[in-house]
Amino acid sequence: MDGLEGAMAWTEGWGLALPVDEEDEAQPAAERAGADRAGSEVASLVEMYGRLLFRVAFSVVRSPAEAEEVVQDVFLRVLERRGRLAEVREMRVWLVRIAWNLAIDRRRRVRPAQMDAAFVDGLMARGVSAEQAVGERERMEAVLREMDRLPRREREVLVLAAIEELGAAEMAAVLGRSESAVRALLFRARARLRERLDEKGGVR
Amino acid sequence: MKDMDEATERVLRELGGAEAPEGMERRVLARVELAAGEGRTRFGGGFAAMPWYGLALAAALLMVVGGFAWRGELVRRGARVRVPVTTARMGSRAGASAQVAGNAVRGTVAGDAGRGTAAGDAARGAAAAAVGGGRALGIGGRREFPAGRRREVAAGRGRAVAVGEVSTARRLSVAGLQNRPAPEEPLTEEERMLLRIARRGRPEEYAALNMGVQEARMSAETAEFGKFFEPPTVVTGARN
Repeated sequence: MDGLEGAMAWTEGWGLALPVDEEDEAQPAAERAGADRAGSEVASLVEMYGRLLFRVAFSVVRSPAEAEEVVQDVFLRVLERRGRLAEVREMRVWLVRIAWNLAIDRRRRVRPAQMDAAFVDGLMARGVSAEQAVGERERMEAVLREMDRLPRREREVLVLAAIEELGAAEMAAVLGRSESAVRALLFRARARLRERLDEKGGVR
Repeated sequence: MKDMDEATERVLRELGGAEAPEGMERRVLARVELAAGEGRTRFGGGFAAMPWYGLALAAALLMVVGGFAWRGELVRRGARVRVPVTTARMGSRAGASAQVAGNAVRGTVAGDAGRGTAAGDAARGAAAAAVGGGRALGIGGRREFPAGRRREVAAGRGRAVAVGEVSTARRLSVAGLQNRPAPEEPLTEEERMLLRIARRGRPEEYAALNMGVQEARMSAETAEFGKFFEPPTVVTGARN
């Protein structure tokens, strides 16, 4: 857990009130201390990784509200396993992986087309002419559409690579592949995306 | 081309660099805290109460397994009676049944070699089996069945026939259900009206179904009707 202790100190003021039986006076002090520690650990994880997990989730679901839901779900999972947090060797990769899987699962359940439209709306530049805006929107939509048509592995690598905080090693760990495989997939994904966009002129 | 590359880069940059909404961490923490509180309430005093929950679950499982075991025992007892009785009903296979019964009796004889009475019963059972399959089975099953069942089987072939008929009827009804198509649905009011009209074949009624035709016909009739009541022409002129 890199830097976890520091983050725990930082978030000390608003730690979680995890299920500790305060009313039970007979509860052993060590047990209570353990629960307190688990609560502050979860709080510090939220502070440390919340934003990164949001980006990971957003890159898949393309909706801020849905991405926040995913982040909540991630920490609910963490809460379920708070007794074994100490056993997690690479906390960052573990959390990103949970977020990634939950986001993919969520994207399957919601309507991606609506979320993509809202995402494109957010991307549109202000102060351009109507004609330019139409062209820009079509290009953005074409890029998103062709990204979705990429082979799954290539698409995943392409999206994860867009998150600057994640290095090749972490991407490889999240996807369960070697670093060299990830690099090759990223190269192929970019080439294929460009080729397809060129073929169609980018616009349907 | 350049535009498309720019669009790609922009999309990827926005996808990977999205900023979390304001106050997301606090909302997430509140949600997690709420979930933790729910867990405490649900299990009555926190997760420490989980052993009680496990015990209750184990007891419920035990009851379910016990129920299945009891049901299995009932089925097993029922099967012992049903199999020979059903076989006994088949007259064409009486010989085979008798042989099976005889085998069963022989097994019993071997087991009861030291007891003369039992051996006598077995011998009588074998003889009866050779003569009439159904009764032989009744006697042959005598040692194997519980007392209540034995009385039922020994009570006669009437019961055996009834059971056989029931199973045959059930087979037939199941087969019938599988082969017979679903009954037709009743006609709707409109379909019945169409049928009536088509059988009579009156063109006015056909026309009544088409509002356009009907309206045209009505207007023609009105025009025709009006023709007879044209306003009288005023004759002007000096009367002589």
